[in-house]
Amino acid sequence: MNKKAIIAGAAAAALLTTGLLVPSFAFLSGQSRKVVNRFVSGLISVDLKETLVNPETGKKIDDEPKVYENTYLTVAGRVVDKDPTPTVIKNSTSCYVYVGVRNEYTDLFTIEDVGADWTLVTDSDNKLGEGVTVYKYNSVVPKSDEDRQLSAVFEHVRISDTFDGSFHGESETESAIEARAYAVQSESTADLSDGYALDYFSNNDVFEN
Amino acid sequence: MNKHKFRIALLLSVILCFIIVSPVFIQGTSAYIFGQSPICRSSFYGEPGESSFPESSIPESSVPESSVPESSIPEKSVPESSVSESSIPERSVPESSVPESSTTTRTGDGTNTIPIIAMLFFSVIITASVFTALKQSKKHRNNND
Repeated sequence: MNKKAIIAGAAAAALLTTGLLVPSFAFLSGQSRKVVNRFVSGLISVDLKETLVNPETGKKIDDEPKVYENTYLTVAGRVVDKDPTPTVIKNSTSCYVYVGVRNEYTDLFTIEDVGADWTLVTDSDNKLGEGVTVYKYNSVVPKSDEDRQLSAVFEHVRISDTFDGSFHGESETESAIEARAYAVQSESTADLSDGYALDYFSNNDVFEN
Repeated sequence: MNKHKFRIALLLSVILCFIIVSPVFIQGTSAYIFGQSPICRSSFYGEPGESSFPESSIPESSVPESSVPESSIPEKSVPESSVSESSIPERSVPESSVPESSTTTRTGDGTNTIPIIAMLFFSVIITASVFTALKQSKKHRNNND
């Protein structure tokens, strides 16, 4: 009985307060114009191309537009030009840039002359597939009004002098080295970006079309 | 005994819920903006039996006079026409296969079908176990009455 009285009292007090305060607010209140904050989603666009090479000699053909694909005649002991070069497209959010490279035959092809601006990302948890390596651009690429071409990840590929004209068997006469760039926003990801890149490149499908 | 089972079922449900929900939270934290480029590919083709000897193993005397060593030709002197279109195998530049527009921007929203399937699967198991436990406890109560 006592409890009921308390509840009834509390309810009455609440009603009374509301009744007193709401009309006074009606007199005193005013409202400003709406403030609208629009949040536009950031974008990151990145491209990866390399200089066209002469398939017979494996040497660069300068002054030609960069390409997505090159072909090389494989000659034992030869060092061929290959310079995968990422470009961060204008208006991209500031980002960390990574390039993953899949080299099917690490015993036959050796990547040489990695650029000073690039560092090999350590895959301590062995997330990456066989022959896959990931390089990180050493600085954050800030947002810009213009496309920003970075330096080449590496410059050359050395063909082993034990190459016998076929790739691990007579049936295979062709091999490939694939590369892909990945960029992730730099804000709030300083300690996480390497992990994201490794996760991304751990999926072998990223090197398929 | 049934009360004990009910408690175990309840505890298991809580643990399973945690297992299901935690990956969703973990994935949610990786929703950062990222971009990826098209693939840049280099194809290496070999000619069995023809190009199998190392370049360095060719003795100088065996090189005929007419064949000027590569290094002696300054790069500028190589006419562009020397790389005839026919010498580049067709497969070398399939422009259409890698359209420029494939430069993409995506946000990793963490949407994945596997967690959803797992979630549904575990939800069914949890519901079944809770119902069984409730049924048994009801039975137990009836027996006690």
